[in-house]
Amino acid sequence: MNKIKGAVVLSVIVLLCFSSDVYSQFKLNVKVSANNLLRYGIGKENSVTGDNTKKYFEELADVRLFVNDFTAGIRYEYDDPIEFGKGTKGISRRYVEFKKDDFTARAGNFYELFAKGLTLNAFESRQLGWNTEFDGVKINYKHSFGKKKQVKFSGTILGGGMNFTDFLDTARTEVYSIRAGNFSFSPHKVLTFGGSYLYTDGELPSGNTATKIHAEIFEGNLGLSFKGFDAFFSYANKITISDPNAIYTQSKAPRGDGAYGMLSYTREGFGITVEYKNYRFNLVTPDQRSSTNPWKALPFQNSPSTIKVYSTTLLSRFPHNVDFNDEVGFGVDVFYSPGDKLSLNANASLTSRHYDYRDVDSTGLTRYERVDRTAYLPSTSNEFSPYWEVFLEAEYYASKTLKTKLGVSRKTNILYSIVDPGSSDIIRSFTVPLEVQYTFSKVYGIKLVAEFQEAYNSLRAGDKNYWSQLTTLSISRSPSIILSGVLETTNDEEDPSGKKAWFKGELVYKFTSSNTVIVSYGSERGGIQCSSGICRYVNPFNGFRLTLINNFN
Amino acid sequence: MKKLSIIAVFVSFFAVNFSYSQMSDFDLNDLDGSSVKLSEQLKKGPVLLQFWATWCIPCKEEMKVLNELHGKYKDSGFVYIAVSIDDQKSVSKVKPFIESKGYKFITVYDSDKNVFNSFGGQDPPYSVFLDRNGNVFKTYSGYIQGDDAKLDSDIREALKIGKN
Repeated sequence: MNKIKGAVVLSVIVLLCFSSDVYSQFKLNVKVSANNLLRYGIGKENSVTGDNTKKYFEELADVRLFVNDFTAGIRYEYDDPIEFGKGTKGISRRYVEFKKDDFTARAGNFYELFAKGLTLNAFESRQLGWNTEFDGVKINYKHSFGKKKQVKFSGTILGGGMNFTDFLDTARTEVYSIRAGNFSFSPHKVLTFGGSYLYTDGELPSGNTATKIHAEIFEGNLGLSFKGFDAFFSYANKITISDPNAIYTQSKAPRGDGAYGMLSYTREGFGITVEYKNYRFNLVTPDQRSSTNPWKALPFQNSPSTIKVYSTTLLSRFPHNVDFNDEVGFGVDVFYSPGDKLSLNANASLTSRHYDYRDVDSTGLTRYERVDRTAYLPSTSNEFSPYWEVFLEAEYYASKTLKTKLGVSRKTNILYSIVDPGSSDIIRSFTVPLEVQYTFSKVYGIKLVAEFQEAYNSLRAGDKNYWSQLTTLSISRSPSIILSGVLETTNDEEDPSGKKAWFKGELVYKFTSSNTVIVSYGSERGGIQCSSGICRYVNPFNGFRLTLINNFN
Repeated sequence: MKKLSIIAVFVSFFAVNFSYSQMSDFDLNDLDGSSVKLSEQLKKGPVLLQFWATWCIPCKEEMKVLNELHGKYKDSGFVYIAVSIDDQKSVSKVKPFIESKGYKFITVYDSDKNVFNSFGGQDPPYSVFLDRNGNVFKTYSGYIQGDDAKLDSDIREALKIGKN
């Protein structure tokens, strides 16, 4: 804590020194912006073991001070307790940044994305409790050359530490010391190529023992753009060397790699994107798969999932948890607008593990052996834990005031159990979302979202087939109020909450265009929530929630 | 509670004293890889920056409205820039979505959300309206059906600011 306070004081002193120097020669341009987020909730959380009281209070105030070419930022955070993740009370973010023409330097906390994230994609997702924030120094230089400024260069180097708290076990923190660099060069509009390199020393705890690792990741990428076509390809290779310890008595240095490709074509009224992924950062036998495995894809590696991101509740209910260590797949997404009133969106994706495994030990022990195959494409066989989805949606504006949207989705997600194939987790769902929106008297709006879902869950002891239905009715008055009611029902006899109906009322009030208060009361069904391919289970909740969002620019 | 009171006072102080401040410049790539510099766009007139993502439904509803308003006021100098904060998982769908809709306004990529964060964005849809002097004229968080009337009136007001 003293370290953080010291760094902040030092940053402010440095900033003021530079500012007064600037002031003596130039006009001092000072500006401040701030934003604030307050979240509070109290109620009962339903879990398999019973009902527990749930209470959270989170307050985040971000203030940015701009002085000529300098920016200083501070986040004050007060979690008592936090809803998800590891809570903080005090200054949780601080930085100083200098930006002049093509040059940017930043000291303190930051996030960074290199290319498509195969080497580095540090980000925060508060709804999951995920945070891969750096504390260090980052320098970026970008410049355009040539008469038409078509030749472009961008380069970044960074170094610093990262304390990654396991979002599913907040008592477990992985510590990394990272140095990395990235560049991209575009000699012409049609061609861009680049590369990145990352080195890290890390300590990954498992129980009372931490495994020390030293990892290197190399990445190269190529982008092409011609007329309506765009293509991008990225390949990364990683080596992780572990020091021997009580758990792993011998040092190991396995290699892993990952590839991502994208091809898109667009013209007015039409756009198609085809994506391909082949992530093999830690191909291991089923008994070695673990979130504490020291040779795994590192938490700051987060590449494209190539599966659709859904926005409505039931469509998002059975997501696929992407395994960046062992997954191959592709996705196709099409947008088509035959006219101003009608838009169509179609999506299909298929993803699976690379290989099937067999237990080849004839005694009572287990020894898995890989069944080799050409694994450049996913498989639909259950042994490969496949996930596939098809989604179609049509949006129609009947008039300026009336909009309708109708979709249909089919998904299957299989988590294969090699020990007992009969107990594999198989979930199939068929979902139809419908939305009707009508605006009247210019400022009043009414919106109905109705979703119907049929599901099959192989792990249900009784009836494995059940349905769920969710209806949201909202009435709004622009620019300040939205009043909503959400009703969800099911005939599922084995829902973890033991309930068959959930109702929640919500009020959104914008007291200015950038200051909003949201209050809700009632019950929520919970389920798996995902962000960037990372998922967590959220327990059903019954109670009161308050969110206050302020922006001051 | 004492700490919270301090935060509230601190934030309110800055809100009152430093509103309508001038914001930082940025240089982001558009859908064709060309640079778009905020300071260059401000020379044309007031600029509305809408931070959005392909998975954000209200963002796309607001975008349809802003596209119509852009068509109505672009000849008067109004500039609308759609800043995509889609990250690596959905950024490949930005260009196909925009082109399929036939939208002609400027769209730029802010995949690492650096510009979004520097403008104080928390969740999309979030928009910052800058007058032609680069001062923050309005910020908008969220979108409600019927907001087009309010946006229309704000654009007309912004077009009057700093006009010679």
